[in-house]
Amino acid sequence: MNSVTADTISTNQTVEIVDLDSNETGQRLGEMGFWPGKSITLVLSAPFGDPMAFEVDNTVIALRKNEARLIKVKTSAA
Amino acid sequence: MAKSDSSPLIALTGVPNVGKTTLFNRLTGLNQKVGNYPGVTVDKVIGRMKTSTGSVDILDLPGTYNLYPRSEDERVVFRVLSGLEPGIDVAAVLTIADMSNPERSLFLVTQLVDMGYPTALVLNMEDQAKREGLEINKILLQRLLGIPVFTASADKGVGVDQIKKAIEENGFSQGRKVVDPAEFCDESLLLKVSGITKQSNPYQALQVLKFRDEEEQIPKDIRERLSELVDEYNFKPDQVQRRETKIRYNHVREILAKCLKSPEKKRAGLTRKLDGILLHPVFGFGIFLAILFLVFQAIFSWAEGPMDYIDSSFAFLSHWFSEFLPSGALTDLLTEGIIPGLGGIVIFVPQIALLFAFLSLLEGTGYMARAVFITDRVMRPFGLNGRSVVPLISGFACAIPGIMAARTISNRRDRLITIFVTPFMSCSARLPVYIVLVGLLFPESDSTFFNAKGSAFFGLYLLGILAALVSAAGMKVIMKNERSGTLVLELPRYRIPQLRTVLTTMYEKSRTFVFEAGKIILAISVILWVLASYGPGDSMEEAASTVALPEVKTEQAMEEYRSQVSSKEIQASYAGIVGKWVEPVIEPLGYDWKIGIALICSFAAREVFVSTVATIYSIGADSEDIQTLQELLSEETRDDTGEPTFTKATVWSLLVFYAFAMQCMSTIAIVKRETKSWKWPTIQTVYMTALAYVASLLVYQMLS
Repeated sequence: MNSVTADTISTNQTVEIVDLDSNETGQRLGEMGFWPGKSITLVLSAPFGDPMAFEVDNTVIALRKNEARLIKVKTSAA
Repeated sequence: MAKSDSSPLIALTGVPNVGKTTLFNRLTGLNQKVGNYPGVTVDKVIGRMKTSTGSVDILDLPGTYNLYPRSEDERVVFRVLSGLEPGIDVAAVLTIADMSNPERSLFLVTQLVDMGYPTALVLNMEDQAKREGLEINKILLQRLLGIPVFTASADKGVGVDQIKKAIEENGFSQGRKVVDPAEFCDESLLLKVSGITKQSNPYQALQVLKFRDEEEQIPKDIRERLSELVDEYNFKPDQVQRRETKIRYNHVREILAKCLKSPEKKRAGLTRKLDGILLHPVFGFGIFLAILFLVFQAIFSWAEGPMDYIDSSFAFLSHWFSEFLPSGALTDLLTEGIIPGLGGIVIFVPQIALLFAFLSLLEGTGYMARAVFITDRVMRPFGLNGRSVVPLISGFACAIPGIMAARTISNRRDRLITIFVTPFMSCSARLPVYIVLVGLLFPESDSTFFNAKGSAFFGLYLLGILAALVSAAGMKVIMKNERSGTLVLELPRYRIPQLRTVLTTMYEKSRTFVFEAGKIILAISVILWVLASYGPGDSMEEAASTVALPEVKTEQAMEEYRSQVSSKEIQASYAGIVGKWVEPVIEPLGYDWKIGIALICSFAAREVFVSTVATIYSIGADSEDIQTLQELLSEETRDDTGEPTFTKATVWSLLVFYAFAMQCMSTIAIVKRETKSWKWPTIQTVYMTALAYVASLLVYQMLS
């Protein structure tokens, strides 16, 4: 099990959220559904790899790279 | 008490992209009133729904995911529902969720219930949920939440009658509370808070306590008292907030586990495929630019006809009144001041309506969020974000709809920067000015592909873009203390846009412009008209009498005579006096006082420069003919030195001036309306004029 931040995962990769930064933006992400225990998938990235669009709860939400960095995820052992 | 005052107020809430505004329009029709909330730029939209016994007022609150006041939209919702908005007394809350995606909506619902409001939930987009094979046990959901639940497909009008009936019969109920605020802090603390800020509900009191510093509506002394309480009880808002969020999330998950049956197969397949094309890392950008190009082509070409028609209609109206009414100062005020002033407002309506029709279409399909997504990164170094692209590019047609479109930017700083720099984009009103002046620079026709005229035009457009980006970057540095924005943007599923929504948007935006910015525009145009048509004492009559009446009264001679009289008159008017008065200031830019008159008059709108110049240099009624105008201008000499007025240096200096200066009262009026203060339009006008002055000065001094 590897713990990385969500901005580093690759397209179509599904990961589970393990932790969330506690600053205000982190809290806001939590309220948007990025909550520890949930799995998220990187659906697509904009040109230059930023912003990135994640699927969570059947919704696609775009985050900037530095926002995705606040989300700690674990990649399922492949 | 009048019936209109006693209508109960129902607040309409919901997360973004669930069809809230569609339902609002269905419930209230065009029976809507737009007002202001103090201190924020969000519009307060209230609609009236007729019932069998009277009426109900419905307040369309902005779409938010929760009741935490972080963006302006959220602040408004927070304020209204926490009882902090004076004059708004919410009787019940109707909240709307996307039935095909209930996870997103229920968080907000749990908060509304805890706020203590009688609530009802509408599960909208039932048709889509069915298509996707998603089932919700409505009765169980109703029981678990403790509030009535309706299903609807508001865009097709399905289920709307039932909702209307529920509103009529006051079919709301207080739900089952989810969070007990006493779990987070001492009950006596909440009681003390309620004592200070008059919240009757403990969760409202907790919310006010948590966000006391976000809310400027709370008076400073009360905020200080709340902060003292926070210290006294060692209250930790961050921790409370996190625990609360967690409890709500778990609660929503439990409810959904019981009532929701999701289909096995993955949903939103079509959206995924379309995104694969429209958001392609390489072609996505090209598609975006192509769509924008089409939109602006359409605005330019489709708006032209109606604009010409409006122009000639108002000219006809002026003419008709001047024939019909007895001549006199009042008639002149009407035919030369007020009617052209009104015409100058209405003329913008085709462009505004068309741009918003397209924006509403793009929004309705779900593409707008994608446009923001692919352009966000590119705009960021300039203190702008993906949402700034549409306003800025709209600025090429006209800054006014562009500035109105900046409303979609939720971050205050980014929005202000966008509004601030949009007028730098070369709008269509600059074109006539550029055409005349560039024609003076390069009189000989030249049909090669890279000709001088074309390059000059390109350069002027580039200059505008450059000024916009550099100013934006500068403002980003100055405003670094403002909260910088986050993106966190939902990419909704693609949908078929609703014609009804498109039409309502066109109507609402045009109406807002005409009635709100229109007042200011009319006032300024009347002032400018007075300046140009009156002079001190009988100076204008004297000036006019210096022109000798032609001996042989041929048509042509009389025409000549009349145009010379107009020329003498405007020179003797207050505008002429102001022109002479500013001459020392504009002399270093290469302008004489006659150009000064044109600068003052074209403050109304840039294109007025052309007609004013035509009047001043007595070019007469055929001044519409640009060729003639250019020929005559190039022969013009200065009164003082006898040298040509329009030298290369002067013309370049004028071009640069018009590229930068805020010569458009309508823009000032709309910036005032959109920022809800005179501060921003004033700073903007001073900045743009100063930049124009310095740049023109440099250009003239280098070239002369």
